[in-house]
Amino acid sequence: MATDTPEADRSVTGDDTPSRSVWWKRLLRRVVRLAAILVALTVCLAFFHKPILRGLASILVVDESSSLGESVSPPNCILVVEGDANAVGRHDEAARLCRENGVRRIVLIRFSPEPEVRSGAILPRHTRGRRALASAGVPTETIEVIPGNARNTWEAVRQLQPWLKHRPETRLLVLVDRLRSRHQRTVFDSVLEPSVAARVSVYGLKEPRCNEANWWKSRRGVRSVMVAGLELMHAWCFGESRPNPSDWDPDDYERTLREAIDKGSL
Amino acid sequence: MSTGRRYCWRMMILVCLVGGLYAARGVLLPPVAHWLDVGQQPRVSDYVMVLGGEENTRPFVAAALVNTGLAKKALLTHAKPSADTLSGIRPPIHEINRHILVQRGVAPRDILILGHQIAHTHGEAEALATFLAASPEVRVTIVTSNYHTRRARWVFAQVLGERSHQISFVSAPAYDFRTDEWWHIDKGVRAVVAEYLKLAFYLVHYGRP
Repeated sequence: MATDTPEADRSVTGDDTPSRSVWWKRLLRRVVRLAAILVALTVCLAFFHKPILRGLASILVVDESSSLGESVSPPNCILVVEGDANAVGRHDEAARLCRENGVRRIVLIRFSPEPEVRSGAILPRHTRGRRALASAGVPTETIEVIPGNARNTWEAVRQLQPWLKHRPETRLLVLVDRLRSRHQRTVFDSVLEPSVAARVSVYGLKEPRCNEANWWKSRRGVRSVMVAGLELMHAWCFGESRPNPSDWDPDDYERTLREAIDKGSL
Repeated sequence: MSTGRRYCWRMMILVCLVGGLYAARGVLLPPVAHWLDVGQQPRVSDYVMVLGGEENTRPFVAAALVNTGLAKKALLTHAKPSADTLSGIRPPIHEINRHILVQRGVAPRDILILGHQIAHTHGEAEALATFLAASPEVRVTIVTSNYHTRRARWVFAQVLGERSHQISFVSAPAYDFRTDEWWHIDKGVRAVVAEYLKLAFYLVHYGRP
């Protein structure tokens, strides 16, 4: 007769209530099972952490630059996304593509000026981009700024839609930070009409010190993957992000501070 | 109760719980961002220090403190140049902050730059510690973004130790999102969730904040 069944325990103790030793045994089995799973996971992570971490980051990456090698309908226009500090070398790459792949036009998007731009501390994004492209050797007549007042990536892509619709021959290649390339692709596919989105390719620029193959080795890499992952999850879960409120007024803030001082609150 | 029925009940409870949390998100989620904000009311101090980043609000708040007499001078930290700075596309952060302070009315002679090529909050705290060692009686108001104040306060307390009583924190609003609806905006999610992840890292690495 089995001695560790509930019925056996009741026959030993002589009453009908389940024995505490049965409950503890079940708990112990679960704990042992959980510990075994954790040990197995730890061993896997220890031996296979590189492919696992690389695999995690590769979810963030889309690279459609192979479209450049297409003999039929390769991209003939480049969009350089300004304000993305991790898209290192984007201007030099755009210049190279102009020289070597016969790209005839580079576009920049006009964003709503932030307070530091309005104060004159820095130039607007499209102006910075234009100057950087000119420094990289791109002829100024090749550069076009798409008008508008975008407050975030979603609005910027929305600004692009009529521009692309009026130019059905345009096949756009978008240069972005590699770790944000899937987010960018998601935005294009969500905002643009399918026929327009099909003419857009995303090129995730590879930065040697921070990409899907080595991101865990540096603080910047970990931060970049974390931020890009959060952004992508937000896009997948909630779709379009609301535009930034962008209504904070430093003059109002200073005025409120003065009023508080005058009232004696500070 | 059979295993299948128990499983069904558990799933129903879980679905109800998740549904309830989702329905109450407007009530539950704002405090998640508010908890990160430990900024204090501005008080009179000798210096106001602007932490690097978020140039769209922090230097403007610092300038307001100087202009209203709540601080006499401003401290900035020398920022490590980004790739865009090295390419000449964008000035370094401390130059941007300096320009904004001057444009908002702070005299250039009242702006001091501390340290060299600082890339993170810990480095800024160390730069301030060096400054306070030479000026032991001064009071400093530190301006940083509202969601950053809790972690910044912890870092500065760790570095300054006994001198922590010389500093206070004033929150600059986040330009890209409102803390009452941070989850609707991707930059808000990035800022708030990333801040919690960094706090968790600090907890594991350095001990209780």
